[in-house]
Amino acid sequence: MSATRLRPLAEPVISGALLILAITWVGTDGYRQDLAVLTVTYGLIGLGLYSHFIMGDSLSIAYNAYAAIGGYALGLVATRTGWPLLVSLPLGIVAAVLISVLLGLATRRLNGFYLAAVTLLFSEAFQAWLIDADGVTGGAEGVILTRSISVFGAELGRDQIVVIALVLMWLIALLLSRLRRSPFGVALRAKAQASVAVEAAGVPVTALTLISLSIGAAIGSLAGAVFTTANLSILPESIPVSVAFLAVFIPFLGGRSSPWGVVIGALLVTELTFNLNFFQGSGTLLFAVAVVAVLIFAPEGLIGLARDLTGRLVGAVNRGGRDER
Amino acid sequence: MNADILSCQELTKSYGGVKAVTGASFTVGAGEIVGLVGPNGAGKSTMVDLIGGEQQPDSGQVLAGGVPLAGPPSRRARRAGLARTYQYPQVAGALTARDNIIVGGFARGLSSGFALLRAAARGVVAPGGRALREEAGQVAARLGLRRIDRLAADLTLGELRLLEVARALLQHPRIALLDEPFAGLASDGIAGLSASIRTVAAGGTAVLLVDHNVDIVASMADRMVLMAGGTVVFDGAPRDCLASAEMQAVYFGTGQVDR
Amino acid sequence: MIPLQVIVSIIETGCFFGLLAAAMFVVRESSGFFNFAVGGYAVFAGLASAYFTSVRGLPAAAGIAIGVVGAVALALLTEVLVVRPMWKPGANEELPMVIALVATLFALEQISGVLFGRAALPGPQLVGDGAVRLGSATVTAQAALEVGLTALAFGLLLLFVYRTRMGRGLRAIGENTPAAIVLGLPVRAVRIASFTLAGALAGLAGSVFAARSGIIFDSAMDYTLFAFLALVIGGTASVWGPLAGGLILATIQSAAIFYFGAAALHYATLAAAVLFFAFRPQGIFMKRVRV
Repeated sequence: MSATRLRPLAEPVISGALLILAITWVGTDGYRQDLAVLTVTYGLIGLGLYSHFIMGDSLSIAYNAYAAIGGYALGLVATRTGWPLLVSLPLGIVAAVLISVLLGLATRRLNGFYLAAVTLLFSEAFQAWLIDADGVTGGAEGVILTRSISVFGAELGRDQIVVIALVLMWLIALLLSRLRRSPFGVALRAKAQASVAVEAAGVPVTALTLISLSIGAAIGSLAGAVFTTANLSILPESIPVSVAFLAVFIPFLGGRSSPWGVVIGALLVTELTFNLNFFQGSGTLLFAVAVVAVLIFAPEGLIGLARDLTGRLVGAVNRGGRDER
Repeated sequence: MNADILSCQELTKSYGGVKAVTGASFTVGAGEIVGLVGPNGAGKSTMVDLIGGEQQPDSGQVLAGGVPLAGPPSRRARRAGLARTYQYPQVAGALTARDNIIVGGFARGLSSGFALLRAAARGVVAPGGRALREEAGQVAARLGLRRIDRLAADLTLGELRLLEVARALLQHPRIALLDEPFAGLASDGIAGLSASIRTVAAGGTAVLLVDHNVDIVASMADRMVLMAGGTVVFDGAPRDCLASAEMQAVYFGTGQVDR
Repeated sequence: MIPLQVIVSIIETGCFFGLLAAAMFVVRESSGFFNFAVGGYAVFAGLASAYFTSVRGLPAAAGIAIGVVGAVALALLTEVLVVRPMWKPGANEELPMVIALVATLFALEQISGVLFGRAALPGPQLVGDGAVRLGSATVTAQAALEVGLTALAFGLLLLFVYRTRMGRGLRAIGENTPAAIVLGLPVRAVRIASFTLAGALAGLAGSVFAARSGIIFDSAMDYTLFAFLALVIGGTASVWGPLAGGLILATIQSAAIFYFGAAALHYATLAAAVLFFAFRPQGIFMKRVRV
């Protein structure tokens, strides 16, 4: 089939076209830019979790910590040093990865909800520390950025930052989608269900898990950087502990079979909750109910639902085997 | 020069006071197919776990190419070229059979955690893996596993056994531990699997074949090791083994076997 | 040395955690999974009882009754709407259902906020301000009531689990659900019973203990988390496990606050969880496993 040959190109081309549409739609409209920033923040946190939870079955959820690290790295470099702000991105990523590896080593014998509980407690402790350590983090007042990221001497305005953020989310979803199909991704997904066999085949499973956690932490740190760059401030409660639950729900809502499900889920969450003072508002109620409903009625998420529908249409013409999840 | 690739020396293992294996020794040479047989509870599975590294022996050791085998299963697989299948297949049901199989090939190139990191980086840039997928297809075809692009969850027990053998073969093993590979296989599956095992052994791999089915094992093995009550009671040519008093005693209960 | 007064407060908090953990325990026993929605039942019950007494002026006992009945109703709704359609015994496919239970927790938290307001409310005062001096500590009538009701609840739970046919069924099914189905045990009936109990226990915890320091809608996640921790610390081998776990967790948290200040609460809880999960994942009361 010639369609199979086009497949590797289809993904970047179609998603790229949608990206351009999205960028055009957002334009310079302040409200739409806010929507975009929130979508990217949730989307990146969801993609981070995707790399080890959906693919590797490690329910490590300390995402408010990773995002805060990315955000505070930006804030601290901006206020405490004269360095270019771009330096803070690798700094934040390295710090988040380091924390995730240490946390991963401390919890390497745990799995499932035991792991979730400990990492959630870590999140709460980290949040408490952010407020406590006001000498470093500015305490409850947080950090107000005095300058923005500049590239080649020109400071980026909000318009550019929103575009960069959207491109970043697109790129990371695309890369994760590739990673998922690569032998590494296959081994990671196999580990989720048959850890013993993957280990016996010669794959160091602990290292595999730690790498997937690190990828997630790095992406989570970028989420915090995007949020902070766009808002020019970071507070302990900017990214609440409960954001991790959002990130857990998002792929179930959008669809677990692909990182694009996370992007779709993040769009929906933003759409459902943006106008309704998040985490306080009835948007969260709608969202929680939607998650329960999707889990019950469309276990493969919205992507699965769409695939089912198109499958039924195509199936009438051409009956094929079951696709891989 | 010792041509023994795999050598078990005086292995002993007990679980909570119950002795599963007591002073068991045997060897498997390069290119040799050794059948490990014995009734339920003879200690066969424990031997496989001790060699594979899932369990640690209380005493005794396992040598691979003359070097003691130690550490977790993944290190044994990489250092000694050890591959294994399971009595109860260990597969990822949500992945296709082909993807399950390529895990064996993926591990082949890994020397350390850093190699894994490189693999992740490569995976992001160019997913690739086409060569591995094709190799998986060829190995599966030789074994007679046809439904290779179906989810593993949809396969029969017999197909899962073939899948596990294929995954082990993709490791290009020097030592292959096959735990009950024939159980649940139809006759054409048995033929395909037997031929593949012979091909692998002809390539120099030491094959340890563990099975209940004494007849199939005897038809394939160069040598048979009979276990009963946790010890090796016979080690020799299949014909001699089948005719031995120990075999009679173990399987037909016509005499006392020394424990 | 921790003052006696702090110990009294530890016992109160421990009883609260213990009841919540017991709510999670009964479902765990009957069906083999963690019902993470229990924090939602407790918050709903607490807010409902507080709302009907402090805003609507009903007597405290009526408020508490409404809270407990509401929690039981929510627990049963969870069973009917979420668990029944999604539950696959034995399969390794439990995750989506448990994720749905976590989403249910958030939904219940928000429903409580929408119905009863998002401000903290004072809980219903069932007893007056009376107090007894006990050495250097003062035991309020409220504290005595909390401990008494907890003891009563655990006593009844004990009778149910060990003395009734359904209670024994509960334990048998939790051990091995697929086998229980094959044997024709009334899996569904037992699960419904366990959800009813979970609702009642969490409802009692939420509405009775709300009087201590008021109640606010967004505590549901913390309640669930502490219930889970208490259950893991105490283990599931005995009905006393959840209570013991609750008391230990309360002791660790209160001692940390007493010695190191309020911020230490989170650090101490994290440290306790890491230590317990690493060294004693089966809990204080070990289940005897036959080899």
